[in-house]
Amino acid sequence: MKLSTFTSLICALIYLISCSVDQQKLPILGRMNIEGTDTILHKIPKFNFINQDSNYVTNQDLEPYIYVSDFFFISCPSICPLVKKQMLRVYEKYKDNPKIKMVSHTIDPKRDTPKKLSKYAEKLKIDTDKWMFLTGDKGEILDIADDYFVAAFEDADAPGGFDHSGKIILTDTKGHIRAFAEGTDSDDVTDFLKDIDLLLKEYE
Amino acid sequence: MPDGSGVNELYPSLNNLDQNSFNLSEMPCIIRNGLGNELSLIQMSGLEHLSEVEINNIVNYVLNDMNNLSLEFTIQQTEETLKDCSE
Repeated sequence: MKLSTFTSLICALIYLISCSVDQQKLPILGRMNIEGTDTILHKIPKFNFINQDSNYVTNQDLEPYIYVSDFFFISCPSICPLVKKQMLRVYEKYKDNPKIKMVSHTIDPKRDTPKKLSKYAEKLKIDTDKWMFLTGDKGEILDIADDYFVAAFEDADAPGGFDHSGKIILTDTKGHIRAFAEGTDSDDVTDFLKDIDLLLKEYE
Repeated sequence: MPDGSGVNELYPSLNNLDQNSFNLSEMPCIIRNGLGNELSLIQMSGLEHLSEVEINNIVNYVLNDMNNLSLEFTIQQTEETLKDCSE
């Protein structure tokens, strides 16, 4: 009995996998809510942050684009350099593609001022029209990390004072999360680049 | 990065060091005391818990495994250097 349950589970899994391969379309991630007869899909709520040039950036600025985001802080001694190297791979691949933007949120707004973020971007040798660095109210930043399914919180015992995951997230033009990768894992990011290509096909 | 490569100018690479690229004798002090302060962009926290022997091993690993410099710090050299680190 147990074996047959297991076998049917495996079959269902293979069916699901083959389905997603057939359709060649990324799923919309997150919990679905049913309100009356409407299905509400998870999406990034409205936000208003400040970029490296001290200009406001809201959802509306990102709406025409699909974008790749991560969370970091400048003085982060642990995983951030690894994640930034992978973000740089994404940047290098799509820097000439006008459909994509990149967004890095600092989780340490007290120390990572716009001026410092601007210097950081300069040292990273990237174009901030393409890849922006955002700061803002700490509560709002940590809240939006939740919406991206990224764990981020202050922790005096963690190296650098913050604990956070190194996820890289892909969001579509409607604010739905479509894929993510572990930013410390180069192989995972290789697959993620394929996911980005797949999402781009939806906008051709 | 684990292989010693850096990230553009943000995290300088540890590969391609040569004997003149920076004051190599500072390396034990940087490992122990870190680099930069609250206000600097590039910061590294000090690894104060490492012993002289461990620091010595790291220095030689960076110099030889990552750079083939065929330079070796002796434990005496490392100990002497660490005594004179400026905070």
